[in-house]
Amino acid sequence: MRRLLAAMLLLLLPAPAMAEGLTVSLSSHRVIIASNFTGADVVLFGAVGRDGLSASRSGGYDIVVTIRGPRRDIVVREKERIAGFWVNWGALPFPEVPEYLAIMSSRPLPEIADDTFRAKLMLGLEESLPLPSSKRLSPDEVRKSRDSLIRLKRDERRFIANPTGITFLNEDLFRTSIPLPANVPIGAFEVEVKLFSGGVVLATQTTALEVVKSGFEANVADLAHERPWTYGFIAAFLAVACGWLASAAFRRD
Amino acid sequence: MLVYLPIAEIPVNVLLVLGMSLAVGFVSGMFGIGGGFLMTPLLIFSGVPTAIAIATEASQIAAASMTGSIAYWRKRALDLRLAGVLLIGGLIGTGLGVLFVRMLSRLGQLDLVIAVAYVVFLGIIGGLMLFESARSILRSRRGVAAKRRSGQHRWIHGLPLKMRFKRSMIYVSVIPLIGLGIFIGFVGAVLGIGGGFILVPALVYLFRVPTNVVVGTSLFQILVTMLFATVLHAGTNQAVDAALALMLMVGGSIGAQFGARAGQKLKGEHLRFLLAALLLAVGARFAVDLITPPVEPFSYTVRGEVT
Repeated sequence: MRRLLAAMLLLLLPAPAMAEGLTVSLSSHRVIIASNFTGADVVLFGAVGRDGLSASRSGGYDIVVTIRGPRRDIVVREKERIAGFWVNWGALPFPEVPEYLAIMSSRPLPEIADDTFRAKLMLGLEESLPLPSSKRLSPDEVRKSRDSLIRLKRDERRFIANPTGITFLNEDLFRTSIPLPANVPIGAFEVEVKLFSGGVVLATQTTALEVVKSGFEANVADLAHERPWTYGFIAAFLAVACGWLASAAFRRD
Repeated sequence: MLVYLPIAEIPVNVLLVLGMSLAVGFVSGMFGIGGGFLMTPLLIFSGVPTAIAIATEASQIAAASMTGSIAYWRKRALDLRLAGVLLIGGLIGTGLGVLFVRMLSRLGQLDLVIAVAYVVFLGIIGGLMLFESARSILRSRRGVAAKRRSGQHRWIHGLPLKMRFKRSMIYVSVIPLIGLGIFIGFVGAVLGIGGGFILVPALVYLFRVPTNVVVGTSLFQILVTMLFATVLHAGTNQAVDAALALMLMVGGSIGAQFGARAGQKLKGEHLRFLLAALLLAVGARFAVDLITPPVEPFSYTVRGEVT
């Protein structure tokens, strides 16, 4: 209903008279992590398509690419000093946080769209993590927890914000590279490309990326998570076999 | 040489892990201990998540006590009946311990409880051992023979449900034995230790088990509880890292062989003095971490995941 209203509003609005389209392509839609994986870059190419009527816009184009990894429920904890010891005291849950989040843009985000619009679009690292409500923590403390989560994630290179990450090759053609670190989470990633001009979205295009594990480690991890009891018995058997082998190898009689 | 640990999800240097397990294996062979209460802290200090350090170390202790059990089994220095009764309690205690680890991890308090428990345990045991070994070193210098206390424990012998253990030549109630098993199983599963350093003195001083069977019996009891702990930690908490376990087993079993040979050249009280100093040092490290302001007070976990 709301979407329908928005569409009707768009029809009523005089601007934009010109219609732009977006075409994007990834260098690869599937990244395979083997045991020697130390990180990878996926290159994204895009083109702004204009119909014949389009004249060049006064402000030029801006592009924002957002890549979101699989979502998990996160708990952020802060250590406090209790009776002389540093103890995890506050715990604040953040639902549905992307395990990986990269935001590449052609200019710093505040120059592309204003604060309220960015919040509405969830454009930016902070904007992607809405502040949870908490009875126990003050809004300032909640904000501090959110900022700390972003800092921790940035330190792990799982959150990335690059305000100059988009390169325009000419007026209509752009590219960016999406850095996937060695500790990149496994799963489905969504890639969202937005075309801006003069603070409004002209076009949005989405595509997908998949990160999969392969090799010995992947098999071990899969078994451990999917059939934990079988895995446990194998680990116990490994211990018995290693112990017996050591006894046989070092027997001194 | 970096290898990515599939469960801990961190890259580790293979040579560093092998070196650590060789060193701990050496120490454990030298002192005749399991080495869990050195290896688990070392893993935690080197960045392995606490729950994974505890669970993975359980499998390494199982491997080490398998080797030991075989040696004592060959010498027939193992009381299976006694071990069986201890295991009734041991398995219950292990189950409770694994559930306790899961609960603490979900509350975000596992690291704290482990650190405090290690400070207390290592402080008490290291302190007592340091005091006792220093005294016997001084006494042997003065040439005075150590007196042995007789240590009668009447209340234990007054309990019902008595059972005769032929190989150990004791006739005692199974109630305190099962109780001891529960305690050792619980502590072992929570702290990532075998518990031999509690079990052996308890069997010798409280139950008068002769020293020739006590080590073999204790090793066998630890073997079974640690195997059970490995299966439970993997099954419920998905916390056993097989790749890390394999490195620890290889390093530990090689180190123990050399340690055992080195240990024969040192005097008992000097050995105990060294071990006590080592235990106190590890305990002190946990204590320092608890009281110094953390560089990063914030941390995050995925809800429901045990780390």
